[in-house]
Amino acid sequence: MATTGQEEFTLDTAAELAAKEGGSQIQGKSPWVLAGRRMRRNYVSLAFLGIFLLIVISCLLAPLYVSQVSHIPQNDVRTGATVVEHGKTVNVISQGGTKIVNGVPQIVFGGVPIGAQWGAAGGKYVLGADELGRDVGTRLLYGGRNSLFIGVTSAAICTTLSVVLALLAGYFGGIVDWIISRFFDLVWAFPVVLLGIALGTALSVNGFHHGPINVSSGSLWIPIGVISFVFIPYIGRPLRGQVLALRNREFIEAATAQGAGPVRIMFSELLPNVASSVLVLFTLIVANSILTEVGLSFLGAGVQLPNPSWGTMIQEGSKLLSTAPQISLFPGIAIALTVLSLNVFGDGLRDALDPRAKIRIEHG
Amino acid sequence: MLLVLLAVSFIVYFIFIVIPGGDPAQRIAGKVATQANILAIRKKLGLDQSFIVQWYDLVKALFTAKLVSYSNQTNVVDQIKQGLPATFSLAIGAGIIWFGFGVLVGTISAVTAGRISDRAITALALIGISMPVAWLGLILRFFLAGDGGSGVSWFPDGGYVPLSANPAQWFYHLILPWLTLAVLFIGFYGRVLRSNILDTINEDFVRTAKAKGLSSRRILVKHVLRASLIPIVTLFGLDFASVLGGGAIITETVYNLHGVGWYAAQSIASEDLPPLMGVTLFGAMFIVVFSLLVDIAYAYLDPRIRLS
Amino acid sequence: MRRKRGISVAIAAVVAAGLALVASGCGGGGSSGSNNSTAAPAGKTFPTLKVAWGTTDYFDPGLSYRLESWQLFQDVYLGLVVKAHVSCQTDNCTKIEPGLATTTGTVTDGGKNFKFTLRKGIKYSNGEPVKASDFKATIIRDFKLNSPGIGFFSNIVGVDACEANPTSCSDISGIVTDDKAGTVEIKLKTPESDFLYVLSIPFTAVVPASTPQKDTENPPPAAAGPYYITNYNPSKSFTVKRNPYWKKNEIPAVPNGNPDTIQGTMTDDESQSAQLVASGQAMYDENVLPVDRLAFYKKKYSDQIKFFTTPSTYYFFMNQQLAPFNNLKARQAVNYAIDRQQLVNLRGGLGVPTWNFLPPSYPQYKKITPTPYPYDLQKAKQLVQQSGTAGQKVTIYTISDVAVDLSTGEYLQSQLNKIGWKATLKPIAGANYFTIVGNQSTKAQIGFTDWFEDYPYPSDWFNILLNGEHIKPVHNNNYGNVNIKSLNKEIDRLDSLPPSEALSASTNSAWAKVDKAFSDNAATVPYLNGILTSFFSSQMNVACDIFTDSQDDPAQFCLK
Repeated sequence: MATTGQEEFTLDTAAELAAKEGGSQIQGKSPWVLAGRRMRRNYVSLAFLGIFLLIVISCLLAPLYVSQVSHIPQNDVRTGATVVEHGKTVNVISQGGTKIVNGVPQIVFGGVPIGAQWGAAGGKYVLGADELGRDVGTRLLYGGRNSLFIGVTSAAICTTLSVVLALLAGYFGGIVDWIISRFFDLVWAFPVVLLGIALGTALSVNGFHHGPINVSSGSLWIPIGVISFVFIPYIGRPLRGQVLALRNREFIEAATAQGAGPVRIMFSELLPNVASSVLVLFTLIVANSILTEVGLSFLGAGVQLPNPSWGTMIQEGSKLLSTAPQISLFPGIAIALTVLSLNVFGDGLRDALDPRAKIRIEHG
Repeated sequence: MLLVLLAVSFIVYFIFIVIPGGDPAQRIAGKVATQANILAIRKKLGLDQSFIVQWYDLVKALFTAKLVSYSNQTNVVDQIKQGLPATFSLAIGAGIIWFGFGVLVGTISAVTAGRISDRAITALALIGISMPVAWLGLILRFFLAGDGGSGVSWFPDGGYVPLSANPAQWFYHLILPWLTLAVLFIGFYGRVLRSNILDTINEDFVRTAKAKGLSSRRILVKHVLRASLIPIVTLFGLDFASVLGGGAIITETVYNLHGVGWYAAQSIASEDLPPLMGVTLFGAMFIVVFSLLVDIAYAYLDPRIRLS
Repeated sequence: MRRKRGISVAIAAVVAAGLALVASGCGGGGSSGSNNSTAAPAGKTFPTLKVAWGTTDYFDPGLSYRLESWQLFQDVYLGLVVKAHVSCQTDNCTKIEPGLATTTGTVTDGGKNFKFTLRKGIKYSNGEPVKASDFKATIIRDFKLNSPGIGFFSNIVGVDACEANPTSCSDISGIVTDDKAGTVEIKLKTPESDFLYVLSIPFTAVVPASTPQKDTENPPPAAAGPYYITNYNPSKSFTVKRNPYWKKNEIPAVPNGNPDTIQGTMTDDESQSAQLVASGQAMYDENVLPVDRLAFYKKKYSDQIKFFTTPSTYYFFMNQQLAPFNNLKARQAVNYAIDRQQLVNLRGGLGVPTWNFLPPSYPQYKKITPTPYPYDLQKAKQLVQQSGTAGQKVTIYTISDVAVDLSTGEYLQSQLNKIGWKATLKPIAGANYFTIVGNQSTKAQIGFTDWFEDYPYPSDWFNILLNGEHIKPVHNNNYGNVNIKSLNKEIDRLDSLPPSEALSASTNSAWAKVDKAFSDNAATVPYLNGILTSFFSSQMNVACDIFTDSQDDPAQFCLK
């Protein structure tokens, strides 16, 4: 053990904070108020929440960036165009070609996109161009919109579904619990990435057209659906356990005695008691969903081109890492930063609300 | 357990029935095929049978190791077997790294909670779990192995060398994939372990041990760590099972390791149902078996469970 | 044939422009080269050639339809006739030479009857003698295997029963063999100008009659050529060794070969494959160099890299049965809207812009001048307006798992949007792409496609890809449903000329006119001819590399 001589254990931040608050102050305050107080003191968490919000706002302002700064729309292909860089005219894509001399082709290599300009070309190509002369900066912002939208929406759907399933299973028990638990087992047993890609590929061919649901193949709802489905047991399982434990507590019996129906008990008695766990799990699932989107897009089963997402940008740029690293590099950094800020914030939230919430992750 | 596997196979089958236009008979027949040609192949593969019969045939063929792929008629079980060395090498190596480092990092972090080392480890761990594996793999491979552009070529540029062929090259080829796969898990395990240790410290049996006058180190190793490791073992069982079963699709694809996950990615790209069925069931089998093992390990490790 | 999806490797027949004219002038004649190349000096042989190779579909000559296999097969499986194993740069590599037969056959009955006599004493790698009846057995085996090659046999007399029910094919009356005399006679329903070329492709390469009538790959069937495949581990590795029964210099057109053993490591990963050669672990890289490292590699290993243009055309199809492309002006608009240079750039410069459908390597090629559709976005916009289709929705099909094809699709989408349509992109996995766009129910309007020849004759292009008589409900190769009656007739006429007239000057110019007529009709948007790379390690003498019609001939590689 690298820490020999360490004689005294300290407690983690949240517990420390809780201890400082002292028993007298805690009495009579709702747990939410207490959590809010703890949260306010966790400056690191708040700072990262700020970063996350900043990223979200920047992405939402993408149209403003196009109209005021880059003047290049997200899907605008400018292969043959030139830009003025420090007063010099340069090709956005280097021009190559081939001459046949005595039957042997003489190649002039081309196709290398312009690198990050950092303002040298006005607002154009601040972060460089991609292989089709599109503006990486613009696409990064628009891609962020898609990635964040997928992350947040699929996490919301996934959380809602798993909460409902967990409440049903925990409240009714018996056969309902058995069926739902087996369903969790089933999805759990599936390798997540494999299931995600299999579903994503299957659906991205012709979309999903069954009954009232009509989703076209290029729709964002396909990765959203896939991601929210595969993560259901990751929330559902721990919640089911919590609900099951609450089910036999006195206050539920009291509510039943007062004549409350199952729906009322589930949603006004049980739900508030697991809400803090749900909130913590939700933040972490958002982070996970964003990462999963990258995996799906990397294997061609995520957001469909030409629409950008951080994942598809990384994938597109992977073939041009040596000549145009900017295409993959910047979205990667953006994802890492977003997920990091969510994780730190989620951690703070967990410390404040529910120190025991754990989640299994899998991106392999 | 078997029921879960059957259900998994049914779901895979169902997913790929949704795909229209992917008639494997047409694909096999090639571009100058006649209609009769296509019909003959369809009959040979049993594609003219009903949904349930086809599914049953597929599963039967899989369990009797007779299942062949639609796209190139190779035996699925053989192909999975051939992918095992690469996948197992990746999984076991990465598993050792991430479990070892995860425990080390988590323990250091917990016993120095609040200090610089804890903060630094926490920060690194958080960064580790925040990077997309595909991106990390690409960047590592490009900057450390890719000859061209970066100018650095410390590692081989992807690929797998069998252990039996050349142990040194085997190791050399696997370093980057191991790291790529392990980084995420190290961060995650370290953090989970840290909070577990801190939780456990407050439990009664630790206080009792303290009261008995045992040294902190002894308490840490014999009691706290042991109890805190339980959730980690659960996690490890599932994660390790998933990687063993070919779940590290992205890592295997990025580094071009021809393992089970790579085979899965290939089959998905060609929408080839039989290999997908094989790979998914193979992966699911590992998860199901390891879930069972985890339960057993759980009972062994947790003093509270053993008592009751 | 199409190049394999995932990496771009091509079967190739490049005839330098000047030589192409010579070849056409003397009717594909010229006895150049073939004898020199076979007489490899004994000193050039070496024990082991290690190669990095792309993965392939099969190593069974009856089933494989991939360039990766065909390149190796040129030294392994021989037909009655073979393609010359000579350089496409300095020689006529499109020439057909005698293979297992003593001559390129006697053609009678106005081009409907081909007769061959086998060389005596030739043996397969398993020791069995090559018999005339093996040829017939090979063709029947192709049917039993449901080989993708059986479409090439539809003109043989008595093949109908086998076509109707391939797996129970038992006899083809139009093929008559005599083992004693060693003769093979093939009767055709109608004369066929390209039939000799058909007899040179691996589907007609003779394997022993004892070969199992199913996919045989471990090891692959016994071979009559100078080498045989001893071991094949799909997608991973293969080993090729000298055929112990090969008689040196027995077949002048087929070189004896320099390496004693060829060991292949198979991978689709271009950068891994290149690094294997750069680090000296392999001596030849069959895969194309990764696009974004071309300049780097060329600078660092300049003498070890060669480039070859291939007989391939990349083009967009436009479905003439669907709006808006049933309108000539709409099709012309697309032709004007594509800047071919930009699509060459997407391949890092590995391509030659083209407006012809036929590649320049063909003797039948005549560059269409002046350039029919120079890049002109304004004109394209006007044409869309004039066609009255502005604002219509257009769905573009392209391949999802090949980065360049995907970018090409995105480029097309942006151009179509610029000239007044509402274009959406539909990327589909390469493995299923051609099945899906080749199915009429898909109603694919416009999309990416490419073509690499099976054999060097224009009917392999126009008859398969643009003849309206061959439009099929499924498995269609004429994705644009191009159906121009007068051109259909002309293609049929040229296709059924007796082989003696196949390469005459008048036939050549007739093919060139067909090419021009399709361009006038804006039937497709041809945009470039592909180029590929050959990368050798520093041990190899690059001067020995012979780029034949089936790519670099590994048998002729030599050390420094």
